[in-house]
Amino acid sequence: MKTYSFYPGCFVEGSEVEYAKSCEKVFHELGIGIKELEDWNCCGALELTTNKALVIALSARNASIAERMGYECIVPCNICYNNLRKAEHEIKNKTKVGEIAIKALKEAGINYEAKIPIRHLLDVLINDVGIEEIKAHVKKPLSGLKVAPYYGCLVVRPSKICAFENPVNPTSMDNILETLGAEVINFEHKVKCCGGSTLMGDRDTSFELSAEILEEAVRKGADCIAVVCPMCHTMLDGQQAMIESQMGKKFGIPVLYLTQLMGVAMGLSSSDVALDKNIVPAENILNKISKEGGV
Amino acid sequence: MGELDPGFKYEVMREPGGEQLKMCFSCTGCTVSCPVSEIEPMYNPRRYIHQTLVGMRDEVLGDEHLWRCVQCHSCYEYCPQDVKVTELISVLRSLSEREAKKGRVRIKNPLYLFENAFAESVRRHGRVHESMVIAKHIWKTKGLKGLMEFMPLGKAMFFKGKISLFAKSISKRDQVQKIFEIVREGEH
Repeated sequence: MKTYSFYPGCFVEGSEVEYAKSCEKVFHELGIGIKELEDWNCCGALELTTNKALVIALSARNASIAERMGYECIVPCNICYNNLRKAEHEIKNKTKVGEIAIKALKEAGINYEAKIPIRHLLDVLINDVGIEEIKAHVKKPLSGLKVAPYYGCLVVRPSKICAFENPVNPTSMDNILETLGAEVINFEHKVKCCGGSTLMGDRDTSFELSAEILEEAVRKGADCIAVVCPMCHTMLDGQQAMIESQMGKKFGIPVLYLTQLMGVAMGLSSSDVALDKNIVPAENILNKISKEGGV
Repeated sequence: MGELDPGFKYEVMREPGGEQLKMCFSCTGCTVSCPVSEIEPMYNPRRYIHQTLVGMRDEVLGDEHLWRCVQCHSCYEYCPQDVKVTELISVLRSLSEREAKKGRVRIKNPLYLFENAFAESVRRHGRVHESMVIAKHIWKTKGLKGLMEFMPLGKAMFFKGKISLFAKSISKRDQVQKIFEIVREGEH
């Protein structure tokens, strides 16, 4: 059994409990060991934009914990993932900002050598676990379920730093969903921004950006949207009703974490993958999965 | 129009993230790929780069739309000259905020207030106490009406156990506070 360290981040730990729980259960099913980073801190998210060095240093502290624990680090959040990869990049390349961060870490008594791999959850699923292994765990295929795969921004961009997917047309989530038996929609908005980072500053813009994603999914007949980032999920699921009332439109489309869909296909119960925690009712998707072909 | 400041580009290039400014050859890839420019043409990364290069310091740092960037990194990805446009915009925001602190610029977009509150929560606890920072921000910027608007979602989240009333502090807060202290010391 391969073991990884796990950095949930504030969002997943705080409000996106369905992601935390479904990750845990799915990894358990796949025989992957997970150890939460000890005493992790906030990476700075997208809210410390005016101080890059601070984001790099805060993120590097988390990576240093993974390094000390000695396990590759899985990050389930696009934003945290991006920040930790940037920290690794700046420090490894000894850039000016990397040096500032290293100095701050030293003063705080932390040693970080940028040696431990930082991996997005999707990266681990597609490249370490692999399609064949996932297929072997499918007990209740998602037959008949139409899913729009939405990746978001920071898991693929900037590709020079994130570097495990195609930044324009990523396919890892498409492939996993197909393996689960779902019908995958050709989704043009798969890497277009949900606008989440400006929700607290310029809500209209963030709503407009999210509405474009919801609209395409509904227009193409998707039964649900699959995501791998708590920010995307908060926008598309949590804020969906507010977007609807602002735009005067009705979407009513469930938004599930990829790990929730994986859990369902692996035969886990809806409480195991916390379907009751989604804001847009998600249990309905179970009725859309055709019983034929299932166990 | 304010006076041109030929030193502005160097001021920007000294900041982390602004180093690559002069590599821009004006292909417009940043603006074309920007999802915000598509909605609000007044937010135009290519124009900011140009204005910075010619020294239009007052115009750039006083530009309200700077705060509309959503950090999606499309411009960063599409730039063939590796200008790291997203980070450049953050540098401009940072300089604009410093001007605002001196009372020379007024920033209407409340995002920077949120960022400050967020940073303070992380500094104090090591993690952000999300629900509190968000609720306080809505109260401050939109008052009771804003909070009422948020109530249906807030209620649903509360009953689903998605809101923590208390901050979760890490044990080595001193390390995080040291990081803040050292990095901020280096600021101008």
